[in-house]
Amino acid sequence: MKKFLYPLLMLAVVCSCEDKPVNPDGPDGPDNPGPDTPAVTAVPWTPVIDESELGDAPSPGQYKLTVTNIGTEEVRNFDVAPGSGEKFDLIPGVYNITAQAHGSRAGRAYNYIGTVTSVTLSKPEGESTTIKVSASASSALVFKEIHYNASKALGSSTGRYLKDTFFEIYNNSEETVYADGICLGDPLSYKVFDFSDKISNAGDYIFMGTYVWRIPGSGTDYPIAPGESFVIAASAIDHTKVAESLDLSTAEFETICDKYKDKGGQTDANAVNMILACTIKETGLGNQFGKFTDGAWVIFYPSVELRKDGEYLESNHANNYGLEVLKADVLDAVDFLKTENPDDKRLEPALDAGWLKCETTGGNQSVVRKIASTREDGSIVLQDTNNTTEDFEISSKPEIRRHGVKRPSWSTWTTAQ
Amino acid sequence: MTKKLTYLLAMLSLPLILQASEPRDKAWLMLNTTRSPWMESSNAAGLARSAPEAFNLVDAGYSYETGDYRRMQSGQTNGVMSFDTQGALKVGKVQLWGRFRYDNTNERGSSFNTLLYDPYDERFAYTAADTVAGQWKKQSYQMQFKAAVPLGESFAAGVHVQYTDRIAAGQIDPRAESFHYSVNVKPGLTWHPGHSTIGINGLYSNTFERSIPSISNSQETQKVFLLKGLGNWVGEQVGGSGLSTMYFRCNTWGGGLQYSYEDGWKLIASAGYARHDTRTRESATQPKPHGSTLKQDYDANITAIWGGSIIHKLGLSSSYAVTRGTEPTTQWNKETGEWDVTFSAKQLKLSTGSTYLSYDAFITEGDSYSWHFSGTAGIQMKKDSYALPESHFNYTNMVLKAGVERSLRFVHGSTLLLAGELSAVKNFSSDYTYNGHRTDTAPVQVLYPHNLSILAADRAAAGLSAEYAFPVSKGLMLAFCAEGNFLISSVQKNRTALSGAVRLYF
Repeated sequence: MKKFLYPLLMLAVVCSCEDKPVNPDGPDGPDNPGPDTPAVTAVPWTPVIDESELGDAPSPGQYKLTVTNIGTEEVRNFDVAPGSGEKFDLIPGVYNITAQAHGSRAGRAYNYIGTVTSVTLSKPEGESTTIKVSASASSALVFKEIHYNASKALGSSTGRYLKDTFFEIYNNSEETVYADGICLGDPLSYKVFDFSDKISNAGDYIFMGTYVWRIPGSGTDYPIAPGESFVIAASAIDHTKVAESLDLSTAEFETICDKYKDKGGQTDANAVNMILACTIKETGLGNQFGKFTDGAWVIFYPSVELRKDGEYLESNHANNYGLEVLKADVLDAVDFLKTENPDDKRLEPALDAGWLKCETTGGNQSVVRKIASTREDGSIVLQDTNNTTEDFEISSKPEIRRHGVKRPSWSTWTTAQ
Repeated sequence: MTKKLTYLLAMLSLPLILQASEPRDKAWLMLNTTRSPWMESSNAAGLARSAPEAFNLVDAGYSYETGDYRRMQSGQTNGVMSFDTQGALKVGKVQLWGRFRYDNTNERGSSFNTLLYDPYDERFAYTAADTVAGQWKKQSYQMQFKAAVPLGESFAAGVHVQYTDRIAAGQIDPRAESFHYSVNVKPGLTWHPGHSTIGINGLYSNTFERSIPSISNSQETQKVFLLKGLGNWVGEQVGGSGLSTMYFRCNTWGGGLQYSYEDGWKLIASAGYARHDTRTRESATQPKPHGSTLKQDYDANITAIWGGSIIHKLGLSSSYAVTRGTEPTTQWNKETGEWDVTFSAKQLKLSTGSTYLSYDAFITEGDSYSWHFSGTAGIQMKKDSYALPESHFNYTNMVLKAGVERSLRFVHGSTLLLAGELSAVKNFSSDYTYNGHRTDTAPVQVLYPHNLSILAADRAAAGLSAEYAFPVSKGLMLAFCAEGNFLISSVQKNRTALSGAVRLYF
């Protein structure tokens, strides 16, 4: 009978393998699970709003917190009043936290924003995080709609048509402003590319990565009245004849120049040609914008002269160059991600606290800024909280000048096709 | 490729070296190996005193499966061309056994597997998945040998070495090329006091899989899910600056204990343990951790064999595997130009267990058998969990199998082996619960519910097979065999499998 004892003992050992949960902070380290450790438990987290840098702006009274777990990409929102001491249960992890509010006083609109990035929350007894918020007045010119991912070519199941992207920029203020000299560019990721050893006060700048296009003009050639918008098209023609797209023949500007007329065989429509101010890195794309789908976009009015081709700064990644632009010159910025991971954001939260996940090329989709209110004259006021996640939504039907927005007085042409 | 051909030729030559003296067939081979229970153990040293008679087998076959009863990562259709050869012989005091197997697989209609040759390998839990019903072409080369030598009167030493080389290529975007290498070494010792044999063996295995994702249509990047477990995932893409080469590295340590008794009847009992430490990284130049797993395997078996004109074999086997996954949160460090792990959490636990009781009876006829009856009853258990958000994936099944084989011997030495098998699986319980924020996404809506419905379905299968073998010269038998299997399930999904092979026994 003894002969059977050993194998039976072995079977008993196997059957006794107990089912135990796991613990992120087990005493035996992350890669050596202890069989008797407790389960992962939520962390009681207390946000602390610091309003010491609001200046003259009034306290909005309540902030919307966006808490993003950069490991799981889970985004949670909480409403918090300063000093409330409220606690929220979070999964242990590393978080990006944004506090935002919108308010007004004496006819001026204010955006309130504060961000803290890469906060590790793991202590089961609880943790608190201080979020320092600041206030800024809204910009006059803002992105209203961006056709970002091109469309499908007619008669082809797989062909992509890449020339119909556009940017519509809207005067969201109550004063006339001028489009002359305004630049459009796509910035490099502030997390990946570093220029601190190439320029002093690198933190005051963002860095453009491919092309910078500039609107020509003497300074007063292209006035944009309140409630008017202008369109910058890749190509200001009617694209409906060749793609599942739209008619851009009434666009005010197009990104075309001699260089691309030669290369792309592209029609030079009646729209005003943009100036290709900087070619920091030439891309292989068949149109004149540097990126599709996966990129951030910025409009800015440079207060200093831009560097010329060949003079750009080399980043910490060899052969990757950038053009510095003062953050103070930025009028509006939006961040589009290829993934749903907010850790891939290119723009610092101070420029854009949010991001939008966009689809791949050929989807004929645009991002459209939401309407905040309507003035007495019927013109719209667009939502501008410096948070793309909040301010924009994706549309599967791109359209220029939607909501009855007016063209500028000087925009009178329609391209003959 | 040259290396593979060299291996192939080397292994092909092994059966030619290991020549046997009498013609053999499938029934003889089965009885031969049944009488040598140490063949199936993890300790090769046991073969020094309990080896099968010399045999050689060359098998070239093709199998084809089709049907909706499949997990998402398996093909709607699956065609496998295989070449398998093995042989055993004693050279002097050294008992040898060797095997080479080559499989060429063409799989269509599988999804939720962007990177791996074997998407079900729980060591590689942190992988990528996509919803595109794709096509994979896979090739596998597996070479192994066992050698055992007596050390004096009471001791023996042995070793079992196995080398596996697999490549896989996805054919539809998002696609990947996967290269998998594995070497597995099991040294063993046995001690023979009287009628008993006591054995101990070690285990070391090194596994490496490198998978290179890509797209053919550069205009359209492809979305993939980086799986964390039970419906939790983070988004990535293939194409552009998306997912780059993934590296899966695993080191395995383990061992086993065995005990056998032979005194007219035979008893063998064994227990084994293996610990697999696996790291998953993206990119060789800027390594980004994607998670690590620790898989622990436990198994125990006991088998008794007795009888003369009727040989009885009764076995009880139990196995349990638990995989714990640790997922990192990574951030790019601009200062060092490396990915930093800022936080790690042990979130995933995958548990798989099974216990089977089996019985075989062979009515012997010379060195072979005329009838073979078999039956198996068992329990399968899966219990997976994810800590936060709390998620579960569980099922418990009962498995029943019954089979019969009839071996007919004709004049001039030809044989016909007819076999039939019925099997049934009854589910006792199943559950998939997901409490996270990915509720409306494909892994939660499609992958796990579908796979649970398949794994936890009540189902029945029937199979028939036939092998006709005849001597073509002295010591050489040529056999043709065909097999068919049909499965029906309670989820209205069926699966049909057909196969054919040509075999040489010598």
